[in-house]
Amino acid sequence: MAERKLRTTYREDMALLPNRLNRYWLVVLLAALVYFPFFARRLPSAAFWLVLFTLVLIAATGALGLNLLSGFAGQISLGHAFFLGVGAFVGATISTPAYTTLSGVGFWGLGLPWWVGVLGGGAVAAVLGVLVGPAAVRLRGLYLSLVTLGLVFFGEFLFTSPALERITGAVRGRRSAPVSFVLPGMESAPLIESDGEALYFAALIVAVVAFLVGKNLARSRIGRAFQATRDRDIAAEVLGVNVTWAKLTAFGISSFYAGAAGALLGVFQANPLGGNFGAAAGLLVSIQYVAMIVIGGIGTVLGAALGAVFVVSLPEFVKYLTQQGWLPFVAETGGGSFDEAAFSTILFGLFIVVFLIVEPLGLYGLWVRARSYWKGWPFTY
Amino acid sequence: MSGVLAGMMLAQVQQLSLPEEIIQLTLQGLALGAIYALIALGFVIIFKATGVINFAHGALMLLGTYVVFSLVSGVIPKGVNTSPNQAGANFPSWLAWWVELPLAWRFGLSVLIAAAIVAALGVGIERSILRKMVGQPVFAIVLITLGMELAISTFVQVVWNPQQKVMPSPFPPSSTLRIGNVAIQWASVWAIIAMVAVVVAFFAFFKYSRFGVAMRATAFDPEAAMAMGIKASTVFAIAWAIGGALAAIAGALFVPARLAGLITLTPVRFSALNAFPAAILGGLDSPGGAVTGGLIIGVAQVLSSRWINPILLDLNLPNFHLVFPYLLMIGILLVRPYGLFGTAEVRRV
Repeated sequence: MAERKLRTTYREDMALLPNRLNRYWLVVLLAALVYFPFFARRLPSAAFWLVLFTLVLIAATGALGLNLLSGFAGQISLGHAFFLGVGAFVGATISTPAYTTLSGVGFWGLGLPWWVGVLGGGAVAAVLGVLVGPAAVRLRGLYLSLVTLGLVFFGEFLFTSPALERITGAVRGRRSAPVSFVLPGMESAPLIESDGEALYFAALIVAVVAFLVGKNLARSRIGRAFQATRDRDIAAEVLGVNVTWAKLTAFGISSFYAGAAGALLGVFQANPLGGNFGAAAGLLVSIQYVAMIVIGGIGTVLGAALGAVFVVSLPEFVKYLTQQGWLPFVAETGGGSFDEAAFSTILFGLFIVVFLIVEPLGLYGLWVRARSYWKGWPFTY
Repeated sequence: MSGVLAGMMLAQVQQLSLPEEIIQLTLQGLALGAIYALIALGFVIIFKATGVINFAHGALMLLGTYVVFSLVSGVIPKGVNTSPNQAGANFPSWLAWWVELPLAWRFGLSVLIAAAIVAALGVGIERSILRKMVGQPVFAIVLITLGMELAISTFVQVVWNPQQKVMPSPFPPSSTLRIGNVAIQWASVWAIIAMVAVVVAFFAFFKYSRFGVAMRATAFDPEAAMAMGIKASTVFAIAWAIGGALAAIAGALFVPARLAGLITLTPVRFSALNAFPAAILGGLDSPGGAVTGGLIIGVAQVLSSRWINPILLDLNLPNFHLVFPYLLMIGILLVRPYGLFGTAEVRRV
């Protein structure tokens, strides 16, 4: 194990990668993530693993956004699903060419590259987030969480309304064009074999950029302003932090992340129904994102990633185990009221409860506990 | 404008003048508001005593509703095989006398039993889960109640299956009370009566009973109350019991009054989320505010679905009444951040 150097300057303490070990592991992790699709091609259930990893990367991006808002700036939000939905529909509108379905519904579309869709989805969501901000300036804590809960219902109202049919497809939803890395003058993208792999790389690029930006935000003046606002907003004001600005920025940044993740999610689901981001489904999505940051570790950049891995994998593994016949008491989807969706929802709910009783600080708390245990091993102090 | 014209024609078909229609819809709104008030009262009592917002309230309400359904129609839930209506009574023979009781008696007793069951569950949740979370970050507690809401409502869905069911009730949707031209369903009238009775009992309990005074003392100053020998654990348990019982009663009233006796999962579960604006609007720590907020939200929702919905429908924006409570709540909160009657937090550096 590399030796930990004593940090002697503030600069060293705030460094992005404080020591050689961190740098080494980061390179290994990135290399593994880039190599993963090529490795997955040879696995027996290649599509399953590729889908799982893609979903984790998208969810990690969205969860990081929520963690900047809730974990760093202390504003509890249950409306994350709304911003994901906005991102999905705006992203689909930007990246898909205009088309008319067989049933005669005409969709608007610009047919621009996928990354424009991601940025555009993020930008529109960010603007809406800043519009919600004034509520956060006036309200605090649990009052705010209930106002943002209203966004989920507002999302249902907006996404399914016929007025926006050319963008959202109302209750029928719309399709988003698959991600393409084909450069002008080339027939097909190099190395990439399928749409799924292209989406994986798109999600990877977005997630890496998101985490770099997120980590830098967290250690910069903005991140410190957020944390001061979270800990005691009046004290932060006395210290010279513009609390109104901090809260609005937090909402804007968080919504931008959600919108970007939503644009990718729209490609993934291929048919982002309004119902996926509003009412019951939207509430579940919002709860999942809050669960990601709380289970992962509130107020830490790493926690968002850990939580995303966990929350996304749980239902996928239940599905996998059911299909393998290892859970005989659970029916496959549509095979009865106790199907795998119901089972994984109950499991998810119970897991949240049990996990938080055991470790309220989440996976990050477990990691810190384990690390400090092994630091002193075999001595208990 | 076609929507408005259609609405006006509808009013003419019913032969109601505008004031009569306003009275009729206000009465319907009060009935809906009475149910919201009961739900909101449940939030407020739990919040006031323990500082927890119970996001699982909708799930408790759902459970209460289905327990009432099972008891009234004499159906033992068996997942997929649960009968969609009361025709399939399958209580064992030694309970045959129960199914033969008059419907009104059966319904009333069922509501009481369901209230007791859900209250016991509430106490159990407090004892086994939330007691361990005292002093933990508010995020963790919020997420725990959200997790319980997912687990309990999915559990209910699994046990009773999501198929729509008919709840037999002594107030069928067709029976109405007529005053002149104004007609209101008996189910709605009973919802208002039940709300008034429960609220009177509730405030009497807090004003006169030993436990009520103990709870008020704890809410006012927990440390001083403990020094006087009031057990915090008893106070927490009573708060959750009352909250659970109110959820079950609200569910049993909601189905006949608003869903024409048809139990469907989503509206019941989400009516509790619609009651959040009621609790917030009145102020999260004010029981009187919860009742006022509930009535305001109920009336606003019914009136908006009559007069604002048609206008927005012309703009192709249907179902406005579902988001109107939230808009109203945000509007009031921007003016009064702690609701109409909530206590403002004293903020110090």
